[in-house]
Amino acid sequence: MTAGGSPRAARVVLEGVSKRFGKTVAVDEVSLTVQPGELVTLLGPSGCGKTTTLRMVAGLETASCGRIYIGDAEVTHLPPNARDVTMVFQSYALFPHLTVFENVAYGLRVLKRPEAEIQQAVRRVLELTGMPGLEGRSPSALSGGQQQRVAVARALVMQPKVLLFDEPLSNLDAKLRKRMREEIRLLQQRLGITAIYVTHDQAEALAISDRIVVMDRGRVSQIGTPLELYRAPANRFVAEFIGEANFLPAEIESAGDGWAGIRIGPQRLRVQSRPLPAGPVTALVRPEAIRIRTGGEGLRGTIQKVSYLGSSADYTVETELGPILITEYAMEDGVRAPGTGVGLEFLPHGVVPLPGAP
Amino acid sequence: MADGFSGIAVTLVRNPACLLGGVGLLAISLLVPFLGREGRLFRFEGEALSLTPLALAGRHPGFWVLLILAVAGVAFGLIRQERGYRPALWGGGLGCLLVLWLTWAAAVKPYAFGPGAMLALAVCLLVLAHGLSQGGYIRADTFVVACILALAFFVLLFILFPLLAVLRHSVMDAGGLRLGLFLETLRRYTALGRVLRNSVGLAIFVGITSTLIGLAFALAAARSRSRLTVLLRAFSLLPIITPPFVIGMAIILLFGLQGLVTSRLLGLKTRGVFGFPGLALAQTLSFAPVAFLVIASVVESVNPALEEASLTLRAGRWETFWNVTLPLLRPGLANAFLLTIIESLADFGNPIILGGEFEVLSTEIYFAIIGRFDQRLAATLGLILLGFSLAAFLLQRQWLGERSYVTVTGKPPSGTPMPLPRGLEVGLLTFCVAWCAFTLAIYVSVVTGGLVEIWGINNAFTLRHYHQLLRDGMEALQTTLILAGISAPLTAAVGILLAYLVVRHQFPGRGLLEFTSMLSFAVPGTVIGIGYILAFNQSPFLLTGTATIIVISFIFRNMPVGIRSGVAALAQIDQALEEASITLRASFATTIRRVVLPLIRPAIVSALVFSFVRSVTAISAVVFLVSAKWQVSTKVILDQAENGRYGLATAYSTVLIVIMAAAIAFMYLMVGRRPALGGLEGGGLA
Repeated sequence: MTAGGSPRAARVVLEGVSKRFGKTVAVDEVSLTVQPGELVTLLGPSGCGKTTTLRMVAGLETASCGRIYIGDAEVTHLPPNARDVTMVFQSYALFPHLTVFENVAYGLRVLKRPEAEIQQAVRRVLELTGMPGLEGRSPSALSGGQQQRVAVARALVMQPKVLLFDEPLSNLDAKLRKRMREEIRLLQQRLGITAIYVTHDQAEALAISDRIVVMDRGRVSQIGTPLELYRAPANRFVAEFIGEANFLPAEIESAGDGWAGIRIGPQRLRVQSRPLPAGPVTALVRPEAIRIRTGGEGLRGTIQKVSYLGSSADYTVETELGPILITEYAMEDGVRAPGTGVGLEFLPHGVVPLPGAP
Repeated sequence: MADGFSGIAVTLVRNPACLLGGVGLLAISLLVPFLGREGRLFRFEGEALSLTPLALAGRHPGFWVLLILAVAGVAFGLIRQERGYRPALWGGGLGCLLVLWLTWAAAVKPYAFGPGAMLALAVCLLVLAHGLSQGGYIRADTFVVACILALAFFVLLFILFPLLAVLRHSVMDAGGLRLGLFLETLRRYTALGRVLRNSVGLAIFVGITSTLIGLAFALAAARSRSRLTVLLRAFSLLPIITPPFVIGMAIILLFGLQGLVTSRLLGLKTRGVFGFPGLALAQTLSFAPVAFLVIASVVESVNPALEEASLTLRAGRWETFWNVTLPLLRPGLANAFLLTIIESLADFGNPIILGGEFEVLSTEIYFAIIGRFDQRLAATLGLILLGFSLAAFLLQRQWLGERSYVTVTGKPPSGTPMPLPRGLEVGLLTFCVAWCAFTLAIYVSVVTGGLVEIWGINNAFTLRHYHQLLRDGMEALQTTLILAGISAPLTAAVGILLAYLVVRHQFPGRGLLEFTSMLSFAVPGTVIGIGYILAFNQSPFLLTGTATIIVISFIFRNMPVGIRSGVAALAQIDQALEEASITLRASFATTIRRVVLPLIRPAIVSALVFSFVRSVTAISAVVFLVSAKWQVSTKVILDQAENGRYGLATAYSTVLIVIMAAAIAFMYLMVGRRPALGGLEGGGLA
């Protein structure tokens, strides 16, 4: 196993791929290009078709229509074992009757590689994934995190053209999840592997991805870098799914090249925007982009609910525009009490105009 | 098949499936005898070439169609086409029907189906499978589809077809189809009312007693902390290793005319045990363990949290037991009740030994064929018995059959189950130990029966019976062990393959295939026995009198054992394991060999052993199929017992029990833990 797996990394192209199960359409005309060495996440709620899409790339499902390419070859109808793709499963799918070593060596043994080469490759990849010294153990004797590493090692040792992850961290506890996602990202970048990663956890997607594909009811809702998705969501679904969001009635008063003048309640701001006609719109306002003014400037309201979260506090403020969620990080004044009258100021970096009234 | 083709895909070959199919069919048509002489499948004595399809085409023009189909296959193999699966689909399908029809039409006495017919059918089936797979009608590769088709064919031929033969004989005579025939036959059979009352009454009585005893054992075994529970679990195995009528025989030894209890201890000279009392006792002894297995699995699956919830809500142990535990067991009790009813109706060995004047359906069917040579009466009575059993089977499936194995999660519920109320525990344990002691007495009397001159009359120790057994009985024993040994791996393979297909693949008719194969649990052995006689003693499928028919009956009688263990084992294996293997470049076959088979090894071993044991101890179906040449042990024992020669019969039974115990011990050794006994619920011990 060479550390620079990048020469094997391949482009993955999906062209109008659909999957129907009987009458239900699980995946609807998904088109996507994953560049060599890129990590792309398929993100969405359960039932949005992200896992089915991944399984079609793996060959575990056959596309009802559309084409899939890996590298230069079309693989749409190839069986999984002819695709040069490996997968890390949600349940890890470690073979319980084989040891850690045998699990990792499984694919190489199927390919009938010389035993010496297998020994070397397996040890190397186990070292790479931080698992040396446990070769003889049975998978059931490992912790969840260790099982996860073996699953990754088993997929990596094949030096696949594409590495697929199907919600690989959903069985781990929160702390371990955070550490493992960093390790996976580091490993992927170091080896330069093309990877497609499925998750329903938006924080995980933001942290790990080069680009994210947000899926909704079988369709692609938006494709973009984590920053683009957060700062410029294409629609309300993406805005709601990634991060927290308030949707407030607003009005475009003026617009220019890449910006708009928008009025929310009493406040006027100039924000980045795609071209929108003047008139009523929905303003997406991120909770952390609202400043609370005890002096009462800006949109007036009364604090209804308070949740103290340690590093931050969430407030729900009742205003004439409806209830507004605010996250405050710098709590110089301590936690505010319910019933307090406040004024709200919106910060331009966290405001996105979306077409249509809320 | 599909994979192999890609390698030889020369530009000239456009449709390898059709080409190979056509060439194969052509070769068979020219070279392989389509028919064979009755009873001699592979010996032709010079007339082989006159029986090839080409030679037969003169007499039966239908064979020309087969030749045309073969040529068409070759042609389509070389012509470019848009949808290559279509010729395979139509050609294969047509070929299958054609071969079956030709077999039917051409295989008339003294000829029966031959190797050519089988090969041609196999080729057409493969081509059809390829078409179905490539056309996407069944989402699986050609190999898997071919397995599905082949299994479906065998299930139709060896389960459904014999049952249809029973139906046909009861409503058809030389004059054709007459529905009134059924009633006519019954009108002439004057004992009908009594026989029905006897059968049903006995079944219900045994159902109740067996269920109650099974419940007592299940509660004691699962919930008592006493060490006696090990004994109770061992008890559960006894009837499995016992030929069904051995208990009946032992009851005669204990309570009969020369009975140890009746004659020696009480000084009675009575034949009172023959008939209902003896039968009810023998069947309860035989089937209570089946009920125990069913109920025990339900007791173990009761979520302790429910009982804990009840206890925290101020209910005491008794109240919790009555209001929570017992109601939760209701499905298990109903299940056990229905299963023992099916068992009792199907039981053949005990009634034939113990019945006396007390006639029941299963023995009346036997006597109709063996005594009166009245096939129609046998078929008619068989149909009635089948009706009762099927009704119970369908009820069982409707209520709870689905739940019985689908809920295998492999995840044990948390918490410790509530101990039984003290008084109840003591009562149950006392009863169970007493019952075990009684069972033990039964077996002791069987063993001793083989070691005394004449039971009750001359109790001197002797090895005479064993000497006689060595002299006269070895041939049948050898036959039995060989036939059971051949059928056991086949049964396990067929059953587990079917389980795999049903659990892991979606295809049209999947539910039906599973249902039909589980059906042979419910079909009484006597009914299958006459079904086989009626279906397979004439052309085109002439099999009676051969060892093949005995092996086939073993396979299809015991297939549910393999299916059950396979389904239970596969349900606990995450499908992602197989997917992981395939994404790691392994083929379907490699995945099966390296991942699936090692993981379900315990299920394979237990299916092997149990189908072996059940084959050796089987009597009800096989009694119709044995011949002078192929005699089985159980029939020999039965004949001896019927003639009152209990010494030889019990000696022989002892030997069988010891062999079976060794087989079970071997299985424990191989599996290393308590194997799933699920395969034996509703075990059709008859």
